[in-house]
Amino acid sequence: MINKFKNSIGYTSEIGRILLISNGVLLMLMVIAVFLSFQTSNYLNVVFLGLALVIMSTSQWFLLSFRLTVIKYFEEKIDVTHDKLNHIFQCIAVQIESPDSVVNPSSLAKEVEIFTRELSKSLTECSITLTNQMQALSIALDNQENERLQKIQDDLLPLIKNLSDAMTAYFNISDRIDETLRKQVTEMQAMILRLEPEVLDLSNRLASMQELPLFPVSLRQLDQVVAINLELDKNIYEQFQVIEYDTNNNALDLVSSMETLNHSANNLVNYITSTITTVSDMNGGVNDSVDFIVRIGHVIQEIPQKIRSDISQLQGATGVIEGLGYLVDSIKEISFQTDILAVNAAIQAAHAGDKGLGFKIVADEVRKLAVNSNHAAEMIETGLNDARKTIQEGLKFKFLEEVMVEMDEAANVLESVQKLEQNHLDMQQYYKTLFMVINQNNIKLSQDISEILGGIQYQDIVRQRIERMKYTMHSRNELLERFIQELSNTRGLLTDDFVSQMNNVLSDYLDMEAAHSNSMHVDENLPQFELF
Amino acid sequence: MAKILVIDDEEQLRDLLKQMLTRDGHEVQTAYDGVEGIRCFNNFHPDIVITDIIMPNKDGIEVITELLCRDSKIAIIAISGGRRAITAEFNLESAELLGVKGILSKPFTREQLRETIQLALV
Repeated sequence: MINKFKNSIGYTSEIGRILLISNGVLLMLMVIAVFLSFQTSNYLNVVFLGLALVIMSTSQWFLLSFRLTVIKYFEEKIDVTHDKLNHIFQCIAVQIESPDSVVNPSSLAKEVEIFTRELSKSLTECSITLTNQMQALSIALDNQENERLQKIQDDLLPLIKNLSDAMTAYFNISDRIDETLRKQVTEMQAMILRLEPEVLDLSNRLASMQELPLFPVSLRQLDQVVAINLELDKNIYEQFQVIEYDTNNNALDLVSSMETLNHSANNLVNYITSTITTVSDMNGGVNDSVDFIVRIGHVIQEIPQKIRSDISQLQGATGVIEGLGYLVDSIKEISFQTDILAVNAAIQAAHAGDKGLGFKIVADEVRKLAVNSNHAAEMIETGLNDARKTIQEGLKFKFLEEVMVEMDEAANVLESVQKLEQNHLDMQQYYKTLFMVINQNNIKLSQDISEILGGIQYQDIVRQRIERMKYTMHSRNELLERFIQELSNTRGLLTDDFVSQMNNVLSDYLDMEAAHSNSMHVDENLPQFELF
Repeated sequence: MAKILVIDDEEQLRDLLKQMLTRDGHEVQTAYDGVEGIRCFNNFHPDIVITDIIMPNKDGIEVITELLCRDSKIAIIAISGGRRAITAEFNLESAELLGVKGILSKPFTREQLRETIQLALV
């Protein structure tokens, strides 16, 4: 409401409006002055114009000053009212809602509520009226209706009086609230003073009861023993949770590691299997090269023997041919002697005349035989020479041919050796790759297996934990049995300090657990197989 | 774009790869064999290593093993065309088993190379 009021009578807009109106009036006066001067041609009009300007300026200044004073006055009043209202409600809230209040606030609250509601109502009314009046005042100022302005100002005075009355009423209420509260506090203090001796008496009686070793003492022990048991169970439960968490994770890790291991192993097996064919092919190539070289080696080994054999055969054939040559010479000699004999026989036949005609025929035939024999011997000689030549040349050709073939093959040995060397390099590279890959995979497999072993090893840690729990539970149960037995036997008159004994069981267990690292915070620098 | 080290004893292919990769916006260095390749790796600190398998002095398998032993997350692409009895398939299968990020059998296309590099960089 206050904000609305302030907005409705903003200073800037009001001043602007007043100045605008003033300017309008001045313009009108100027027009009149100019018109009159034009009509009368008299300087008196100028004086009239100046006078009018002075009057207008004074009136404008007065109006503006009055307007600002009134606005300031109402603003202050509204702010004071607003602050007072806030103060009222804050006081009421503090007194009613204070948690330290020992006084029953119901009647006080009701009283406060009634007065506050009335006050709020009257203040609201005042405020609404004030707003309306201020709006009316603003309109009046705009219209420069002095009479209405005066009337509104007169109306405002009783309203301000009403507001003042309301404030007074509030202060009265506040005083009454304070008075009531003080009264209640005084009553409470008196009550406490009355109760104090009774409380002291009760306290003394309780103290005297604690000194007696009666059933209540056992109950207290029982209470504490149960509390320690609960603490122990809580610790064991936490350990079970840790074990459950770790075992679950461990199982998942194990499965994952086993899958990885299986995958790696399968890959390696496939890899090695696929390499067998290649190795076999490479071995085949090497074996072919080696067989060829061995064969060529044998051939080269046989060459000298073959040469020797061929030379021997040649020598034998030449000997035979030479022997045949002697026979040809013998035939030639026989032929020559036969010819001479035939000539002599012809001479003797000629000496014998007609009686020697038959003998002459024989001599001629013998001579023909000699000539033919000689001719045959020459032919044999020629044939033998041709044969010897042919044998020699034939042997020579065969030897060279064989040697050439063998030499050609020997020349291929170099190529085979080169192939063998390449095969060797390939195999070297191949096996190097193979072994490196297998070695790296073996390292990886070894790591995987180590992880799996670590996971399996964790089961031993779990076993140790469970053993510690088992031991503790056993100790606890023994103590509880003894406790119950003694409660029964002594009818509550306990002689042992079971609380401290139970505390020992708990602290022993906590010490044992603290001595072993928690798996959730395992130090990674520790060796992995320390327990094995 | 990435820093790429190319190790190959075949000069023509090495230059061609450098040209292709540089055109794609990569920063490229090359090496003749495994020994030079490792030295270059130490100075260049590449994002990807593209290495041939059969090379003199130190082969690709040795390079892959050494680099992966240093850091198993190094992105390596193995390339091979095989030699006589040693097939490209065997070489690349070996490299894959050692843990390389990609393999390419020679000859390969520019698109295959780009695709393999993209996959290796992921």
